[in-house]
Parts: sequence; C-alpha cells; structure tokens
Amino acid sequence: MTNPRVPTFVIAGYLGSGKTTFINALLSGGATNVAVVVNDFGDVNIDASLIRQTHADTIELTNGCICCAIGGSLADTLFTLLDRPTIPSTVIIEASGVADPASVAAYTHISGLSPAGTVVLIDASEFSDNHRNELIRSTLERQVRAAHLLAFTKTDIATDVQRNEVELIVSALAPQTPAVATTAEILAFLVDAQPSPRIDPAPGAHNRFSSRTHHFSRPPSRNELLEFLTALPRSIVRAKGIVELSDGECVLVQQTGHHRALSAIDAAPTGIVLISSE
Amino acid sequence: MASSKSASTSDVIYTARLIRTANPSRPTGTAIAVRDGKVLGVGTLEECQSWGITNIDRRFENKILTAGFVEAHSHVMAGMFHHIPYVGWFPRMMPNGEVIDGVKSTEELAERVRDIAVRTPLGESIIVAGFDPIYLKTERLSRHHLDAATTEHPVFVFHASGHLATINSFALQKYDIGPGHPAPGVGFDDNGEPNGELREPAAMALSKDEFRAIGRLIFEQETVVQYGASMRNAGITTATDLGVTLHLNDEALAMTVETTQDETFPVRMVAASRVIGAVNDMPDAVERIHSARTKSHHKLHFPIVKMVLDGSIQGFTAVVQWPGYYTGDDHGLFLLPPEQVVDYLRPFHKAGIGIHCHCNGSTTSQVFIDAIEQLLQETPWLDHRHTVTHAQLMTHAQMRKARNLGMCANFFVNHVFYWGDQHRDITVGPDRAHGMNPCGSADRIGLPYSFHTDAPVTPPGHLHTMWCAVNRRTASNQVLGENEKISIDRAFHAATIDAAYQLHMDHLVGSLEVGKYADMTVLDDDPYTVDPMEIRNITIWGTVVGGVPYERPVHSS
Ligand SMILES: Nc1nc2c(ncn2[C@@H]2O[C@H](COP(=O)(O)OP(=O)(O)OP(=O)(O)O)[C@@H](O)[C@H]2O)c(=O)[nH]1
Ligand SMILES: [Mg+2]
Ligand SMILES: [Zn+2]
Ligand SMILES: [Zn+2]
Repeated sequence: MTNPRVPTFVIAGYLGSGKTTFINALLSGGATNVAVVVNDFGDVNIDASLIRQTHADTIELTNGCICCAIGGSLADTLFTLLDRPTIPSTVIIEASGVADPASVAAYTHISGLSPAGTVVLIDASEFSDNHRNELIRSTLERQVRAAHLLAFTKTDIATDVQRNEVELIVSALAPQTPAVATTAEILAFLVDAQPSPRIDPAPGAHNRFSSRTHHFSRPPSRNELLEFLTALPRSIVRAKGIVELSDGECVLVQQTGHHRALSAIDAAPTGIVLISSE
Repeated sequence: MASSKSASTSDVIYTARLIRTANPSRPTGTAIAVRDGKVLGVGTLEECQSWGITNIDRRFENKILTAGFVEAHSHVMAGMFHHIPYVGWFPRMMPNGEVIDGVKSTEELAERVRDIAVRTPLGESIIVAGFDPIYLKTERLSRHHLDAATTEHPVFVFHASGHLATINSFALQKYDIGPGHPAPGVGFDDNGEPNGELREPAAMALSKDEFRAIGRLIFEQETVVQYGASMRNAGITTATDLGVTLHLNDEALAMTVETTQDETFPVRMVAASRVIGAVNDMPDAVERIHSARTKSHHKLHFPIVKMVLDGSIQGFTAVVQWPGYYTGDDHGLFLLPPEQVVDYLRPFHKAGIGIHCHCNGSTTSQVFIDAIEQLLQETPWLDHRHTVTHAQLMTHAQMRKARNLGMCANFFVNHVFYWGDQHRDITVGPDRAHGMNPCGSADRIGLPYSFHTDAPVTPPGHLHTMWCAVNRRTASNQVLGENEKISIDRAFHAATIDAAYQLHMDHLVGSLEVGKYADMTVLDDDPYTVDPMEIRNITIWGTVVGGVPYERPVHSS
C-alpha cells in the first residue's frame, strides 16, 4: 500500500529575495490547505495559514555542528505537521536566506512527503552586488546550482545593467535551469498552477506567461506519460495535474523547472496544467 | 585565637593530601573550611580550625582536592546516551559509573546488537550509538553485518560523527528503501542495492521511528538527571548546556529548574540560550532570558547566550579562510547571513548578556570578532567577555584583535587527540593542524581561554582536555603542535577559573577563594606531579559541590 505523499516545495534564495512576499501572495491568492514551514536561523516554525512566529512549535534546527545533528530538526517539524489530524495538500518550506537549498530539499523525501521542486529566488536588484562579496559568493552560487526553477524578483526596481549582470552570472552557473522574471503573484500562479488566463509580465521584464490544460484522449501508460512530459518544449516551466494511467492508477504529476515527480494519489483526474513562459 | 563569628553545626573542614585552589594568592593548602556551602578558608588544618569548627571530615585525607572543573561548552543531550547502548571505539563510563568496553570490529558490533535483540520483542526498534568506524581496520559497516545480528528487528546504528547512521535490511524494508531510492544520503553497494547507510540527518529521518525516538529523549527529565551524573563522574562541578531553547519552552524550563534544584543533582548548571529565529525575534529572546533569570538558583544560571555561525571542520562545513580545505570538497556553510550577525547580537550585547559564538572556521571567527568590534563602538561594555567557542582555526591576528577587544576563546582542544591525525592528513593539512586550538599562542598573545569537550561529541572531563593541551598527542600518538603545548598550571587554570571567567561566573566558581562556592574535584593523584602522559588516567573519586560530596558510583564488574 502506498500512502499519498504531500507535494513539498522548497523556496530558497538569499536574504530579502522575496520568499515571504511570495508565500503570502500564494496564501492570499486563495491557495488552500497549504502548510508553510519557515526555517529561520536555527529555527523552524509551522503555520498553516499565515507566516508568523509560533513559539509553541519552535524547534531547533539541525546544522553542521555535530552536537546539534539529531533531534529538533526540520524532519521533526515535518513529522509533527504530518501527525496533525488534517494533512495539508501542499507543504512549502521557506529556507533561510543562507540555507543550501539542496540540504533542505533532502528532507522532502521523508515518509509522507514527496519532493515537488526547489524554486530559488534571485533578487535582480541586489544579486550582482552580493555576488561581488567574497563572504557570501559561494552561498549564492550554491543556491543557484541547487535550483530546479530560478525566479528573478524585484525586476521592477533593478536597473538594466543589474538585470543583464545577474542573467549572465546565473546562466553561467546553471545553464540548464529554466529562469523566469516574476512578481510574487506570478510566482504564486506558477507554484499553485491552477488553470488561469494569461498573466502579464513582471515590470521591467519580458517573460510572458500563459497556461493551458492538457487532457489525454485516452489514459496513457506510465511510459507514455513520461514521454509526453519529456517532449514538452523548454518554455514549459511548470506542469501539474492528476492523470489516470492505463492501468487505472492515478498519479500526481509535479514538474517544476527541470524537476519532475510522479506520485500515486487517490483523487479524480484533472488533466495537466502546463504553464509556459515566453 | 578563635573567630568571634559563632560556628554553626553545618560547618565542616575537609582535610586532603593537597588542595589546589586556582587562587594564585594561596595556590595550595591541606584543609578547607566550608560554611553555608561556601569557602570559609583554605590553608592548614590549624588555620581552618581557628574558625572554631570542630567538625572535621577526613574522607579526603589521601586525595587531591582541586578547584572544581568548569565545562563551558557541552550539551544536556550527553545525558541521553544513558538510554541508548554505547558502541564506540573507546571505553566509556556510563552515568551509573559502569565502564562499557569499546567496540573494536564490525563483528563485535553485531554481537552487541545480537545480545540486545534476544531480549527485545520482535519488530521493536534497536538503537545503538557512538559507533566510530574511523578507527576500525575491518570492513566498512553495512546492513549485512547488522542482518547477522537480527532479521526481525529494525536496527539503527548512530555513528559517533553524528553524520551517519547504518540500518539493517529489516529497517530498509520497513521504510521502503530499495534500489534507486531518490533521497540524497542513501548509500548503495556496487549492485545498486541500498547498503544501509543513511548520510546526514535528512536521510536518517527516512528511518522515521528510530530517528524520532532519539529526538524525543532531549527534553526528558531523565536526560538532565543523567547529564548531571555523567558530569559528576567526570569531575565537573559547573557544566554549561550551550545552546538550549529553555527560554522558549516553559515546560522544559520548569522541569530544568526543578531537576537542578534537587539536592541530589550533583552539578551547577549554566543554561545558555541559543540565538534562533528571525532578527526581530531577538528583543523578545532578551526578555525571555531576563524572565528565565528570575527562576535561577544557586545551581542554575543564565549568564550567556549561544550563537552558531558555521559547521564542523571534519564535516567540511566550517567556513575556512584561504586556501580553504586541504583535501575534500568545501561545504563551508554560514548558518546566517554574515552581514546580519551584528543585528542578531545587538539586543543581547545591549542587555549585558555574554555571547558565546560557535566558530569552527577562521572566516566565521573573523565575522564574529568584527561584529563584536562594531557592537563595542555602538555600545561600550568594558566587561563583556564575549567568547569564540570551538575557535579551532583562529589565526594569530584574530587572537590579537580578540584580546584587544576584551574577548575570550574556548578551544576544542580534544580535537588534537580525537581527530588530529585526520586534520593533519585530510581536512586542513599539516601546517594549520599543528596550530589548531592554539593554547600556547593564546598565552603568548594574552587572550584568555578555556577548553571544552562539547560532550557528547567527546566524553566529558577536563583531565582529558588538560592532557591534550599539555601533551598535544593524536590518537596515533604523534605530537601535533609542539609549540602550542602549555604547562599543567596553565591547563588547570583554563579548566577552572578561566572557564568561569568567560561564563561571567568567576565571582561564584572556578577557584577556592573565600566567599565562593565550595566546589571541588576529588582526584586520586595530583595532575601537577604525575607524569604528564598520565594526567588523563588519574582516577576521579567524584566532586564536592556547595560543600556536599557527590561520589562517583564505582561499578564492580
Ligand atoms: N520592489 C520590490 N520589492 C519586493 C519584491 N518582492 C519582495 N519585495 C520586498 O523585499 C523585502 C523582502 O521581502 P521578503 O519577502 O521578506 O524576503 P525574504 O526572502 O522572505 O527575506 P528573508 O526571509 O529575510 O530572507 C520586502 O520589503 C518586500 O516587500 C518585488 O518584486 N519588488
Ligand atoms: Mg522571509
Ligand atoms: Zn558547536
Ligand atoms: Zn556544541
């Protein structure tokens, strides 16, 4: 028996890159039953509706110090979340501004969760300056490399020079990773992936987003589904939906940038929402 | 002439072969007078009797009494190893005084597990801890070794490094971990089958029930009780739990207040709250520490906070200055943005709370020292004693600057023995390895310092740290850092009064001085006169805390 696993996103990016702003946009945009885990410095908070401090749920977070390697970790927080009577339909982990997204994402494999992808936010107005700072350069580079989807934020206040610089740095570090310019609302739309009319580009950016829903004419086999997903053009930055397979099983498809996960789910097929960015 | 102050019935004089006070104006004596748990005087028996005290306790007549050892960096978690069978390489004393032999091969480990399995109901988890393959010459531990012990229980072997666990086939099956499992940290053999290794906590958490069982032990009262017992056995009279969240957890705080207050609790405890959360949570944390302080008592103190800036050197997660690591990949990781350190620390500094900052790497030491410099410019505090803890790779320039700023260091000198060979050959290379935990240079520079064991990372006890600082021998018995050796006198002060100083506790503990607590470590031999290589082998009788003797249970096996 396979229990359904809760799709879990990691939202990472340096200090002030817009992670909380995005999550609040997602929640106020009507996404329901989303649990948010905020992993501040050495600390993890759970809040299913709003992001705020709840000391009752405060648990120490694992870090590189051996003495803190067990107990009170992000895993414990996630287990506690799954112990609750209502299981969320999506979990979002806001990583701390210096976290290595890959080490946070490692926790999305624990029993009850299924990794849905790592989105790394890049502050277009600050990144190139920060990247010149030797103290934090490797932290930033590690974040970029760990992304499945890169999202430029604050394109409204970034200068052209800053935008060009950041694009150069980022594409050199992660040439294969889809990168889009976003606002918090666009990002919420991307993650939530509900069928939606066209979305206007972020100010100062050229990415235009559109979404459509694909229905298979007959239930595909698992292989056919995989072939379909693999053949999608590079402009598709997000795919999500429940598909009935030819053997009768239903799977939840979660594709975020170049991350893909299929997990068993006990729910009616919805077709696949495909969001492209041009 | 007898003192005019009338002697009380609780007054007592302990006699000893020798008393070492760590008080330079009266460094030694042969008797100590105690009143109300405090030192009334140290000197000759006659001098002590001149207070009019007739109650003479001669149980320590043949022992050495020293100023009680002060551990400025350990973790209450050390107490939970009482609940989990120990399977490490070195023999280790359990809180009840029992000495567990080291495990010298994977076969021996399997035997230990088999012994537990025969008395464990089928299907119930078996968890053992402290396994240390770094010293083993035998084959690498895999699920197959554990399957030889049992195929009917999940087995979880928690390694000493804290970064690795090995589970058996039963557990792999229980958690559906098969070939191609996508989680990072799951180990595979040459045939693509999981070999049972789970690297780092995220992967260990795949073994959900066992991982959670370990985590739950941390806030148990029994863990605090056992922590106290293991500190007593190690001769520690003041122990710091560096990095607790008691200020955020009323229930755990109440439990700790009550547990440490009990007369049977053998050690004075410093609970250092950990700086966690977002920057704007810090003023609230200050308030909570103030409020915790209202619950402090003679055996529980809240003078400092702890902040963590990076990882560990052997884990390659410490942030190290140019040229970085000697071999291996640099995973150096700041735990918070370096430019925010000062904002995190400001409220504590302004409130007069001492700050101990975990910096293993040289980069993080620099960031912390620079932050303190800025805070001092903003808010002068002449007596802050902010401390770089671990401080393993502090450079000389950093030590000079830290000295100028009035800071301290707390060196993890046990690393010289436990991982010194690895640091020389693998992590930082010979040059920097010789200069790690540089006590000798700190003395030349004039930077006050102490040592710590970081128990449970290494076993508690200052005889071992002093032995390391004096002899600088690695596990393979080579000298690492001849010029960083210090004298036994310096080592003794680092383990007592200088540790108390950086905890802002030196007016209460750390030396046997009139008016301070009568806290003593009771030894069979004098660390000053034994062969320096024997310092760590001196038998510990136990301690005296507030004038009350706490004997280490002697386990006859
Ligand atoms: N101009 C502009 N400001 C933004 C944008 N997104 C976020 N901000 C602002 O940037 C600041 C930081 O945003 P947060 O959402 O708190 O960033 P964060 O990544 O959660 O920050 P930390 O959790 O502290 O690392 C806030 O003042 C936001 O209002 C954007 O697209 N444009
Ligand atoms: Mg945030
Ligand atoms: Zn530490
Ligand atoms: Zn520690």
